[in-house]
Amino acid sequence: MGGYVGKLLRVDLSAGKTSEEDIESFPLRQFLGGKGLASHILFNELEARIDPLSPQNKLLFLTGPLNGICPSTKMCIAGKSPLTGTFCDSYVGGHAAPELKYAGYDGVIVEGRAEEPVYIKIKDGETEIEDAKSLWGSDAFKTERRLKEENASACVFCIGPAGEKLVRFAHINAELYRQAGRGGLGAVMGSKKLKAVVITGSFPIKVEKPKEYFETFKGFVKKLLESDSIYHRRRWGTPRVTLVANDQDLLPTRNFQEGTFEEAENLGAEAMEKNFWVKHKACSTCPIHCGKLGVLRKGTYAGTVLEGVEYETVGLLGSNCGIGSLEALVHANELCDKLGIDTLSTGNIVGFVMECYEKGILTEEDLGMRANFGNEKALFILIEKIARREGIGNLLAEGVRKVSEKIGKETEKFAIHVKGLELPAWGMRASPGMALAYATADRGGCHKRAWPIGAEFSGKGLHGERIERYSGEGKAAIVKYQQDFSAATDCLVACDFARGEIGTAGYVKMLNLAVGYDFSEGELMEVGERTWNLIRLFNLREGFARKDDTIPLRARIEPLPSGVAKGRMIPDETLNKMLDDYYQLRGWDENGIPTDEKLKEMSLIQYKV
Amino acid sequence: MRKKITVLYERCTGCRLCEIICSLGRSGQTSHSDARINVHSFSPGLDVPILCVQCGEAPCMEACPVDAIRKNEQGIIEIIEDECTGCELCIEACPADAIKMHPERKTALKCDLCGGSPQCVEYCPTGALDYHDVPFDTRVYAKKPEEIAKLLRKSLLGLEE
Repeated sequence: MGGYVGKLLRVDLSAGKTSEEDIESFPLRQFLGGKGLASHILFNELEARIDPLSPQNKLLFLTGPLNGICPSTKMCIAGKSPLTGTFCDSYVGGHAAPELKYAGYDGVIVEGRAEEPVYIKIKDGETEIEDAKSLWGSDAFKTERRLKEENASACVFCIGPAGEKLVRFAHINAELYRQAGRGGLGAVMGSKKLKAVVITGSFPIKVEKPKEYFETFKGFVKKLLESDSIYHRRRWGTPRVTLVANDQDLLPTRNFQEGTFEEAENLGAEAMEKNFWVKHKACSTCPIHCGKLGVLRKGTYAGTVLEGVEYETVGLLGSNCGIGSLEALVHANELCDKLGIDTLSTGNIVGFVMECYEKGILTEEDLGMRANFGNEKALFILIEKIARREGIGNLLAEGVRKVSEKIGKETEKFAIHVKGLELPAWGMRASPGMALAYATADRGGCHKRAWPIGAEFSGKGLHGERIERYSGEGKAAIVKYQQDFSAATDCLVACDFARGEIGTAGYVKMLNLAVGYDFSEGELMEVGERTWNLIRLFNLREGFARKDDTIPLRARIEPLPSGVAKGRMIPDETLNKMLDDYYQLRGWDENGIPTDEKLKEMSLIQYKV
Repeated sequence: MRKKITVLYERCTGCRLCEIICSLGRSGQTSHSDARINVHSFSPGLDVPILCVQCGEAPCMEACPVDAIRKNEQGIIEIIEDECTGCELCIEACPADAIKMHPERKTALKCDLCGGSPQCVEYCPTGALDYHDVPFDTRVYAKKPEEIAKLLRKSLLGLEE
């Protein structure tokens, strides 16, 4: 069997022991790898309602059958989220996924908790649990540089001080500027006293039909290189959408009060290309190179080198905090990266604090600083305080849902999260489809599971029928399809930036040639849908219900004050109607619980909760 | 003049498609070890592809005790694997760290320009790999990856250190 390299590594940090399992002992045809395998392992191996920061949680690093042999793939990291309490899968690009396979493993399951700080060193089938006491407390950049002294080309996952301090939205850092950002898996790593995972490998990844595979592979590389619809990603990366979002009233501004930002142009791709970027950066085997390496040439932070600034970070650390200076944005981005917190959740929470400050709910006394929108210094100080849980930062480190619950005073109206995950940089009042996507995303407020905004712009529904941008009609079908497709490709751990061009037909072709399967496109989509349903069962078992499939109050009761969608919001009746449509299409009852019939169709009836 | 691969390091994105194309195309599997070109990464964000620069005066040829490294009729320096004894003297002699031992075959491995139509160049997304006639001895490009990274820190990022 090609594609896979054959083994999963299990590291029990409590016992200080490692073991190996045959990858074929897992139901691969049903779940493939990545997200699917994560859903299977976490559902079966985690007790319901465990504390995500206890030794009972597990942290998975999973590849898929196409990592290292297919253009544009990522690594899937998964566990139960300490921020939301849901299943959580977070993806990171770079080179670690193929490197892990070169080292002989399709994935790593980390369980238990070490007594003292450790790191895991994996090299060509040999695994050692090493002392990390001297690294504990170091920021992510220093940690990675230290661990690479031995081998500059090793792949390193590590946490910064925030992960150690169990900040609930701590990320896992990789290759300096890449992060498995969402859902606080860095805190899970910290709770296990695991500072880093270092991977080097020299073994091969084989495929079943090398000659045909090679020709097919080259064909897809060419297709991506020549595609007009990919070009903008190659040149401007994710910030290509900053000014689009701004024009379309979707750019979160001053804690999602508005959808347009008067200084957006300073933070757009054109400004970064001119003032910041020096070259493109790519993940393994990817011709799209959406990453951009930049260096600040002037100002207080001159000499700062950073990959980015990604659009989501622009929207949250930038416009959402009223920050319109590229230099300040780069500095804030760098602070978050090295201290180890998710730029999205951080910008969302700081925006919330700034609104509280401007409304007099939090005072200069409470915060130890003035924190009006646009206050760069306040942003930098709050990032440091959150990452180290100092002063007010100790509360903010719990995430916006808990902060708002603690403060009270009707702040829940503008605590912008779904299921505890702070929303990313797409306002939803100008996009009912996005509202439904947020309400139903498996890990809480996430834009990566479905992104129906493009379909809303184009005016075309799932089957080519005409849809209205601001109506809830026809949106459930788009959201369901996109969720299943993204789940299917997340099982292959393929990047969303290439998957439109490669498509189900392309992935199935590569999968079959590499592994020796005879998958159809329908079967691949079914793997996605099965995974989505199993994760739903995981979340239901944790106590989530229809009431949690919602969007922030602000979007439901407060119309957009300006921009092209001025006056728009998502009233409860629109949301409820979309949700009813969605549950029906999913084969779930009106409470959002998969029916027995659906579970049988998905071969999941044994998992009924 | 002969066509040689030269590298425009500032353009390399670190995607390592060259490694995949090389190892998959030549060995039917992907790995660092099977690739005759390797991209070394250096902090912060620098990428340095290393491959045989096809020196005019080649130290590896001089170092080989059994004459297993030869220029073929196209003028391409190649390693005759069947004749290689695995003594590693060529690896020590190479000024660019462009030769390595294959872990299973235990013979030396390096780029041979795919016999004249290098596949890595064809699929390099940014033109960082260039394949054209070079009018001078390409040995001037034979530098160690660390040395190139140091130059890049200055030229690309303006950093001293």
